[in-house]
Amino acid sequence: MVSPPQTLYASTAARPARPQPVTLVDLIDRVLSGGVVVQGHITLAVAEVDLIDVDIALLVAATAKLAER
Amino acid sequence: MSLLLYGIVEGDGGDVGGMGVDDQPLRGVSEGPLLAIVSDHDGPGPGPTTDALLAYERAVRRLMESGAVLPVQFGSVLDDDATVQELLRRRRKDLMARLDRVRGAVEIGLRASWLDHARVSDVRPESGTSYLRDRLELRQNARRVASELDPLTALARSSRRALVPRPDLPVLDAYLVDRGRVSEFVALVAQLDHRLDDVELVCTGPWPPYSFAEGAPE
Repeated sequence: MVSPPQTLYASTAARPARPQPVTLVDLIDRVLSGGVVVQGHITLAVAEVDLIDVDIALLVAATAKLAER
Repeated sequence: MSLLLYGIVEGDGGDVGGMGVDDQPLRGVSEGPLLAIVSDHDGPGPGPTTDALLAYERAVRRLMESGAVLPVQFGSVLDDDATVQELLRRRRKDLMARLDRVRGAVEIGLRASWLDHARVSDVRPESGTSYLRDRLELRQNARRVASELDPLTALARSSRRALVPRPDLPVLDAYLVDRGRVSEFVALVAQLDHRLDDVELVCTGPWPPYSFAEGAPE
């Protein structure tokens, strides 16, 4: 299994000692604005709003899930 | 019924394996040398949830293990196999060329954000002129940051850049980097960072080549 995308470098002073999972926002930016565009329905694109306005608990849960893998 | 698309690879079918969104099995729809990876769903397609996003991401990442993959935009749904095959047939030449370009490479994301963004954005412009001046200055500064990052293109096959995509982000880049050169690339990011004292850099990856699946080849 290819390892999940990580923060490979960050210039913050509070840089974590170990590689960190990427944030959900990094992922959303990429998967919604990238990829092959097909002439079909985009059913999940409404997730753009849902996921960014998502409550913190859900975001934390999802990020933790990424971290588990 | 509907088909949710994950990615396009080379191949003629066989067992794709693995699960996609809503725990639906992944399968391939083949047309000539190309294979679209899909999952079947009842009704118009799966609902928009965080779980769906993560399942999609995992499936695309798994495809990257076995060879070149072009991710399909998250949430793309087509009616049936014939529609998928029509897409593969219509764009075969273009998709094959894009697969060739991403083979053996991964996407690395790089964003630069202003360290003093709070200060910059909180200032309320006094006039249209000062607003315009601030905007121009922000853009000029963003260009300066961007030019400091330009040496990275020498280590990448290809790159995409958004200048000031958001007021707090002067530069948002994506680089297509050979798998074997990722650590060299990250080392150069760290080196260039020393010359930039007003931005913070965050580099992420390796990603499937989301940003190199469409758009003009350079």
